[in-house]
Amino acid sequence: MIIRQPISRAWRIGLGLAAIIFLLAAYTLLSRSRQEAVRAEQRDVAQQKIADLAEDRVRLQNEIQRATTREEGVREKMLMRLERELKELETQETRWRQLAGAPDAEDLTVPAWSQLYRQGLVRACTPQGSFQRKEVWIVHDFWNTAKRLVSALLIAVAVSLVLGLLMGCVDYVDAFFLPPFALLSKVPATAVLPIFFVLVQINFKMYIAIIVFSLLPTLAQSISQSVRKDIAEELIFKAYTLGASQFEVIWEVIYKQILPRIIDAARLQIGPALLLLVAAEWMVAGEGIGYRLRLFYQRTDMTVVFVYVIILGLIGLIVDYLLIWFRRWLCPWFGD
Amino acid sequence: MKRTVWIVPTLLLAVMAGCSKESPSGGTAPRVVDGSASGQTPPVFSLAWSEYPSWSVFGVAHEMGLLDGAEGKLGEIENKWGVDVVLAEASYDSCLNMFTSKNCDAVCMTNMDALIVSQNRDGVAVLPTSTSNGADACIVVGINTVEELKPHKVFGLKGTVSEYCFVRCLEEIEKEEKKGLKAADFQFTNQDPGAAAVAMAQKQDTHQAIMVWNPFVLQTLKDRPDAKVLFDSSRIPGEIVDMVVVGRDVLDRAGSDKFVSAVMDTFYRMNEELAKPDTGDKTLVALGEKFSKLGLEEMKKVVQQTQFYKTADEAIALLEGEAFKATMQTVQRFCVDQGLVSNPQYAIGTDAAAKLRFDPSFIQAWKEKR
Repeated sequence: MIIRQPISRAWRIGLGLAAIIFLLAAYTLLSRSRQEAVRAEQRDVAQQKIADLAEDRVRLQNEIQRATTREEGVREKMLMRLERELKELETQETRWRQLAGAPDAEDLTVPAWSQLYRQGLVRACTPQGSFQRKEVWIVHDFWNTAKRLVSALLIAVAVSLVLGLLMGCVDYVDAFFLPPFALLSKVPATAVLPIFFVLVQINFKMYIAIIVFSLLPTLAQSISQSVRKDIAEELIFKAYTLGASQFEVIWEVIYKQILPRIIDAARLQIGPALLLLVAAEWMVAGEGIGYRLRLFYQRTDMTVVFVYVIILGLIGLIVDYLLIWFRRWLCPWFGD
Repeated sequence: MKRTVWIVPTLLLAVMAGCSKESPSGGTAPRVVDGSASGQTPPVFSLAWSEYPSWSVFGVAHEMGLLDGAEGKLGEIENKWGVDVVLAEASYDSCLNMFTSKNCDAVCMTNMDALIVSQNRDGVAVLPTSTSNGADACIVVGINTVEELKPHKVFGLKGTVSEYCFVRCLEEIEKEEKKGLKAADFQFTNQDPGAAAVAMAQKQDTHQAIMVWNPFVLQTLKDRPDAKVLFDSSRIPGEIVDMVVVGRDVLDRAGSDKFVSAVMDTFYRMNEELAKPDTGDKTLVALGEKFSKLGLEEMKKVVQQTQFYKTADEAIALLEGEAFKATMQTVQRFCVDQGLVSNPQYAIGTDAAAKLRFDPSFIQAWKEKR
């Protein structure tokens, strides 16, 4: 075998499936062992309780024995109390015996598949709430987050498209914007979150502002880079020679050449934007994916969390493919 | 091809136009209030709350339709008072930040945090909601006495009621047992209570002791059968008071009295709902679902450990009582000792000049108006 030697289709599919099966099997094993561990622990606790209760029972029986020797009047009262205690003890004992035989403890940190389905997926996809206002979490949360994400991405792309084109075409603009953008694009976006929380009123516009301001430097820079590097100088000169106006050069030559790169750049920014959005929602939102994840993290209940994580991954894959497809459809000259 | 490249700029322009049109009115158009003068839109006030027994009632009130947390929409009580209450749910820390940065008009916090926060924004405590009577607890694993706790890190949120409760409980224990216990000998380590509770539930061996509040107390005890409470706030009942604090600047705005009344109406109405023999349990479970995975039995315990001030009279009795004066002095001493505040100024009563005042007159006014 040599480096980069192609493999057959069968191998490719087989290995891909094997990886997925391995992942599922590893999860199943892990969750099984966690479930068994909590049940074993509950069984131990139950056995300990049963032993304790047995001691209590002996003590109670002794007391009852002693009480029967007491004088009348006191005896009935004492016996009644002790009998009641004994009965209480017996109900407790049967409960612990049941638990020792069939422990019902559940570990929700790595939930079993059935828990993921019942307590995760079903709960997230059916209306929740005991009163008139019910909501389907998954619809409510994903709608809120998607609204924020999509509007912010579109605005960020629109603004950085204009800025990036100008920076790429006009050196004055480039010289003005490059230094701050170079610095700002190196600041980890999550580090700027507190500033936004304090300065901007926490509402829809704040999420938009956070995402736009953190994507803008990177996006504008990558667009201006692409204007400078990806377009051969001959093309621009040729257009000028053929009598193209300034605007025509930008629109007919430059914009069309870099359009596929803009779409790709935007596609690659979805990940960072979503990361930032979930972090912001985790801290201050009352609705959205980040909010729900925080609530369930605080309950150490990973059922809904895993469901959300899987759905996020799937949506990410789908959106990625859709955008690649969109780029190919829109810019067939660019190729793959 | 020539036409398709137009798609991107057209789409972007359309979105930007859409956004700029939408933003000034803040989304949906406000609904006209029934019965208010000539269809004016009601004034908007926001209340920030975090997941806690006596504050999650606002979330449940939203579910029940008493309030509508969204801007521009009114629930039953909002219609009654002609005011638009916007509910913002966030973690406790974020709520406090929202309040100091004037991102909300009122916030749910404890008496101690009210004192600290008043350094940055003047506030008026209008409504005490509950007091911690066991809801803050030091939970330990494999530790039997307070002295054994010394070598272990105790995880909890520093500079909050958790640390206050920790220090105060040690003082109370010292009074009884006289073993020379000093708070300085213990290692109180800063961590978010949610994170500390999760770490203990996960049996991380660093976490032998945590100091957290409910629902984390009951949740941890549920997740780890071998954990137990070493001491809790039932040693200092009435000292940690949960309350609704309104920004002093907010009270100058038109309609703020209606806002305060609507908040009180909601809170006492929810207390009535919780006390109803037929539907009280259902409301209690719904309350539990807002902030925990606790069921009915555990929630009954929660509302014992977090004693609600169920009626206006109970609240007034607290704010006008002698015990609360002493409490606030203790709290102030603690805050100064810990360096949390440099120059605390507070008043109990109607002194309008104080940076923070605990003012029973609002409840009194609500009682007369409702």
